[in-house]
Amino acid sequence: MALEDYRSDMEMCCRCSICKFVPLEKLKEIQHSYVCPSIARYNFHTYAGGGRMGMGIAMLEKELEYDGKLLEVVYNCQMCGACDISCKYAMDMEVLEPINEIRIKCVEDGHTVPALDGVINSLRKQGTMVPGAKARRGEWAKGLDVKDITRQKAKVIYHAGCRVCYDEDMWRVAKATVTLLHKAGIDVGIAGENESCCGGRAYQMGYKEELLNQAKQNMELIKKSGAEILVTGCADCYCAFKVLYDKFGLKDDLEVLHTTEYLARLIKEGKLKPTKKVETKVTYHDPCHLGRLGEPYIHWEGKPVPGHIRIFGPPKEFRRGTYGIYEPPRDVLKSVPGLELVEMDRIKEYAWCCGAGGGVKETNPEFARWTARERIDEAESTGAEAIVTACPGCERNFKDTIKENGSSLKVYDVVELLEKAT
Amino acid sequence: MIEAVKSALVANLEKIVGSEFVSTNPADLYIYSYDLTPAEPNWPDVVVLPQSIEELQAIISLANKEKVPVTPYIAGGNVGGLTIPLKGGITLDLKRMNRIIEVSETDMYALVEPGVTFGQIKAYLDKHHPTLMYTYAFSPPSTGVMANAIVQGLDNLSFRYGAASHWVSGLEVLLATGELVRIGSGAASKSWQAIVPFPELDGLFLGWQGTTGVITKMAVSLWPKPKHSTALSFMAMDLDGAYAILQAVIRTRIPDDLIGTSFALNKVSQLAYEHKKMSMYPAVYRTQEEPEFVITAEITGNTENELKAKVEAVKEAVREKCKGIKMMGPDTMPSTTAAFPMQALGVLSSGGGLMWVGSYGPMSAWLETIKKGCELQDKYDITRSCYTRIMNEGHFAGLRWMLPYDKEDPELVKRINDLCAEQLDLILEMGYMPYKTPVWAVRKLEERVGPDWLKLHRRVKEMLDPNNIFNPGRWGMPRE
Repeated sequence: MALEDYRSDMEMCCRCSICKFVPLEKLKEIQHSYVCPSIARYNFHTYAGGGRMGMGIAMLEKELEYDGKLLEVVYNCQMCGACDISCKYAMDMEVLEPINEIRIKCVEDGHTVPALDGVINSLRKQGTMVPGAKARRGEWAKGLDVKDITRQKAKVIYHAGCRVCYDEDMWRVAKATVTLLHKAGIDVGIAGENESCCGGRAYQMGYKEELLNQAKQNMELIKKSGAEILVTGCADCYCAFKVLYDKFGLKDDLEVLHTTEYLARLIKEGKLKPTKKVETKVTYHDPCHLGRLGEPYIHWEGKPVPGHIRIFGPPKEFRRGTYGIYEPPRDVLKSVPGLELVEMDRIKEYAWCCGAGGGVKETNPEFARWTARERIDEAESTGAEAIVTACPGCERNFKDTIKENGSSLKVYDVVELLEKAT
Repeated sequence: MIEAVKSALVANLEKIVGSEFVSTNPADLYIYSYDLTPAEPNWPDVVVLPQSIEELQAIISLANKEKVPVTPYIAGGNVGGLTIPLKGGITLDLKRMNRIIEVSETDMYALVEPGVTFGQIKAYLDKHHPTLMYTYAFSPPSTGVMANAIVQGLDNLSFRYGAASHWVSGLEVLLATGELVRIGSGAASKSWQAIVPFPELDGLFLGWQGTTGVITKMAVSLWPKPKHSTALSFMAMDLDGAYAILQAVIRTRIPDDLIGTSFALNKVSQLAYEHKKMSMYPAVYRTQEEPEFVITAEITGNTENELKAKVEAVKEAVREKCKGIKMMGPDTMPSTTAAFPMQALGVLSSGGGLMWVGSYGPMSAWLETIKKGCELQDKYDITRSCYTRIMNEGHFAGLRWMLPYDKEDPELVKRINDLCAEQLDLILEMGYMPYKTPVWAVRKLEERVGPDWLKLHRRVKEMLDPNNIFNPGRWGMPRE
């Protein structure tokens, strides 16, 4: 697919602006009515999903030329998909796909931004999206006695992801995950030094080839290992393995689970028993790529029926975010004795992004922090003592923002709280 | 605009609001150059996003001094080309001015800034004033409350209270001179509850499509929110029957909302609720067994008994007055009093284009107008898609034919345009007046109004906007 293939989706946009907001029926508070960080921060209509649809058409029609200003609009978007899901509350059209294609077109036409070039160079050379990473990829697992799936057979492979491997502060999440899996008697292994980036974030940035290369490399390693289930605690990796690899026909029959899905299953099966009290009041932040963008890919091949208005043969089923991973992380939290879970206004399909996605943390850290600040304020308004998430990208951005702007709010991964209780 | 003039203008605008809120970036400007109707696109030279009255005053004073056109803009869901800057200049995007300044629980009004949307006011009232409601427009919840009132929009309480401009109880307006004027009770008191026994100056700004000033605050009436609601539908086998049913219901004075739609349009909308699509192309003609027109009365009550009694009274009135008329129903359905059914949008804008000749006119001419309008649709082989809303307890009616179309089909675009031109001639002939009037319809109207009306109209425009900076090329435009 290319941008041109989404022409009719883009032309279908009636500029109703619903892509900017939480749908009315789901809206709980006026100050939390925006769902798209980009339009909320930059205000010009072009920054909204609808504006980007218009921009895509204008690019195809060559009414807009590449320049720094165009790229500013293109890359000041977290690719969080909120516009797509809000739009699909009523409409049957793709929004995020053409937005992604705009980026792919920019990359193909050689119009990139230096900050992302650096990240992609790191991916090409070192297999990680963390430029200048010093720690060795598998160092987090030191002393854990976990299988190396390049040498030993294991049913489950745990993929830690770049953001965990190269951020010492995040190692505890990976360690806690493996510890809990061991406690539950799961035969788990890791690829250690041989683990490589999933490629998902590269795709969000417009580097499709890099995603495909990473996918092929990763799937070869996994196939060779004989693992049946891949578990990851990173929402971006989860979306890449489960959704993007499937989209491009590279997933095969690998079962992909987020750690919260797997842990919720193990709790239900009685293999994990959280008994220790963790007395705290928390609110849960749905990571975009685990929630609305984490729902399975739907393969469809068809075309518009001639003479009709946007009716497809065969009918097209749209991904509306409904089947994302929303309950498992909440189920895990609810299983923790003494823990009180309170909800924010914007949750599940309509959750506000943490701000780190789509390369924004790399290209425009101020925007990434601004977006996180909005979420932290929303979390604080619930009276919670902590914001809990299920993605190291979200956690890092929240922590960086709190460090810079201050807040008494603590930041946890779901896994950490479960480990405390188990 | 000459580049040097533009540079100086932009520099001044940046001084006023900060460079972050001024753009000449083509990627930003492009989206402000068109809407979903076939209105001719035109680019602004610059877009500016003020947040305060002081900033707005400075912008307008500057534009007036430099004689630069200013086109106000809010949410972006514009139709009829109303916010396409015909003469370029400044597009004044007011979305950052989005405060709900005050809600008076007792006097039942809300004072809002231009950027406040229907969705936002509903969410705010639901949370902070749950016994009050505003209304919703026949458009998505992202529609601006103020924009809807300025263009005399129809809403889901229009049967009871008329067009949205009738609910305006006060305005604050910025004039071309930079002066800030309050109208209504707010002019002389702290309260904004009503238009008071002053000369009713609000008429200088409502219905003018932003050509006489920038409205910076608007007080709108709120209404008590009933606890119970239902919808009652009647399906008439022909338009004569539909008219008889409407008249019977009108005289009960019971509904909050009374609307009617061509059966095909209704069927399409019903399917849309299930995310199913039914194409309106090629034209769908009803079978003999199918009804022609579906009439829906939204009814509310404070108690279940009250609601039941109202429903019975409406049914009884129709039974009494429509003897011998072939119809199906009545059926009761869940009410849609909460919000505009967004699912309908997927059908109405499915091909990226949506056009209609929307009008207000007398009930006495409703039957003949709707018949002829539907026959015109047959002539152009377009599915009958009439939508009518009875206003102000039947004193007048909103009437339009919804025309979704595929923007990429030039033959269809031409057919739609030709049909609209004929429908406009028809409605004008029948005494119906187009609203949210696109320029081409304004020019047609100007040919029909008395010459003295036109002179007065232009005199008012000239008095309020001597340099013709506000949304020029529309109402009150000097003849070229």
